[in-house]
Amino acid sequence: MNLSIARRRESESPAAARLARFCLAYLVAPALTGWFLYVALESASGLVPQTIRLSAEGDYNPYMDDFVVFYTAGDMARTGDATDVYDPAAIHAREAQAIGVTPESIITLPYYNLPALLPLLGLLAALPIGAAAAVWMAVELGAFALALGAFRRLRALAGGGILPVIVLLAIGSSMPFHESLLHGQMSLLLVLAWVAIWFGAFKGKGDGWTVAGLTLLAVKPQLAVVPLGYLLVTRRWRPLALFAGIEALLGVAGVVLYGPGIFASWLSLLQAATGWENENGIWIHSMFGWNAFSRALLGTGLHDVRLALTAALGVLTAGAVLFWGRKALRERRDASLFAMLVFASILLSPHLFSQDLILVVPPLLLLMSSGSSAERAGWTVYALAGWLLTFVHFDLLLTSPAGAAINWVTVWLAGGIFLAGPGMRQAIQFANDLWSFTPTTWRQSPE
Amino acid sequence: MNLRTRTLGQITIGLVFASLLVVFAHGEAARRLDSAVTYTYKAVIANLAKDGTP
Repeated sequence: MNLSIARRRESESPAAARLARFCLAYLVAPALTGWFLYVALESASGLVPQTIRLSAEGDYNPYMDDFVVFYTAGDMARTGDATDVYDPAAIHAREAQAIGVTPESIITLPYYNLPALLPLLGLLAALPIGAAAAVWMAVELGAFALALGAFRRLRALAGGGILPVIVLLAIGSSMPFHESLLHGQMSLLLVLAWVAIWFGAFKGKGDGWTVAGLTLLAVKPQLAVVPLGYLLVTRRWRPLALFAGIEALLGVAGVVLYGPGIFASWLSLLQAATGWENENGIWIHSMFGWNAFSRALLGTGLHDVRLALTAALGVLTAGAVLFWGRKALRERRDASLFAMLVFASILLSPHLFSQDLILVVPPLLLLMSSGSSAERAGWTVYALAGWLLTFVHFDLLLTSPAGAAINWVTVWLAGGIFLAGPGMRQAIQFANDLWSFTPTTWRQSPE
Repeated sequence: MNLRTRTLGQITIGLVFASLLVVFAHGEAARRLDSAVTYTYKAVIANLAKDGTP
């Protein structure tokens, strides 16, 4: 908010301003604290496997299912069966073996990630599955805590007070955080990747940070496309060359360890997956990129129309980031540019589930703790809207007719790109104009 | 009132509010958080039945 206008208004109506501050401090802030705490408690109770839920859901056991995929892939690599890692039937049988059930009693979840990750997963698989799960989750949570700590943004939120507590509770009670823990996904680890990219590519801490972040993010290669594009457009040849060198080395290591066929198998699986829906872990309606938006809007049919709409929205997104990103770069609005890149990488990803939405945490923390007080307030409202939309997302889809639903979380992400571009400043200007509009000020300040 | 005292007061009110929610709305948030799994499960069932998707 324009401070001079706020001060003038406060001086015009001190009682109203005091009442507003009191309500914000002793009604809104405690209500948010209580709400997020309540949801976090219920969320934690939902992480404990419940027999009644498992029996109701037949062969779909969601508890740590993605971790089981990683563990099994590592086990296959460790025992010399790496060539079969990308064969859905082969890994399905081994997953069942790993958790001691019959293959018919669980659904098929293939391993889609890079071959380069297999040696690390092999080390993990040397442990019994229970111990490996504990190590995996400790690494995930440790990396996430490290990312938040290194970021040093929580204290910057409105000078401390209760806001950092509310933000931590909001993160802990959010759908993406819950899903990361429930499925044993690596999304929390990837937050660290974006934080490293922020330090390297935006804060001048050195190319090592950028390359380390990109290498980590490339574990899910679809997420690395946008930051790579950013480095290309801004002509950062050194980190690009270093990244290419590391990936080449990892590629050679993969061939030496697992044979030349490993990459062909991986690419063949990815190619086959483009035609899958509702099988082998490809549930487009549960994703959050433009492909999920098109799927919710148009349903299962009209495959070519959906593909065309997804491609068109993807091109528009890339164009918007290129256009507004250049402006942000010129105006040195680093936080806005960084947010555009993170939001775009999610929107353009054809394989992104709710746990990966946790990647919006670093840019949101940045935006909520920088800029004018009005911008901070605007981004705090935006973040709250995102929390709420993810909280009710699947309920909204469940109650909407198939093929006529709006994926509001995707719209929220696209809106974030616009707001990080010109949108937030325009909205603040509009609010200021509205706030200060009186016949007297209109005459005095025609702008 | 200094910042620390005010923050503690706010947290105390928040704890009271959370307790009330736990007592009077127990299970509601958990059901919503589970809806992602329910939704995916419906897709699994739909695929098995080959009759479309949710």
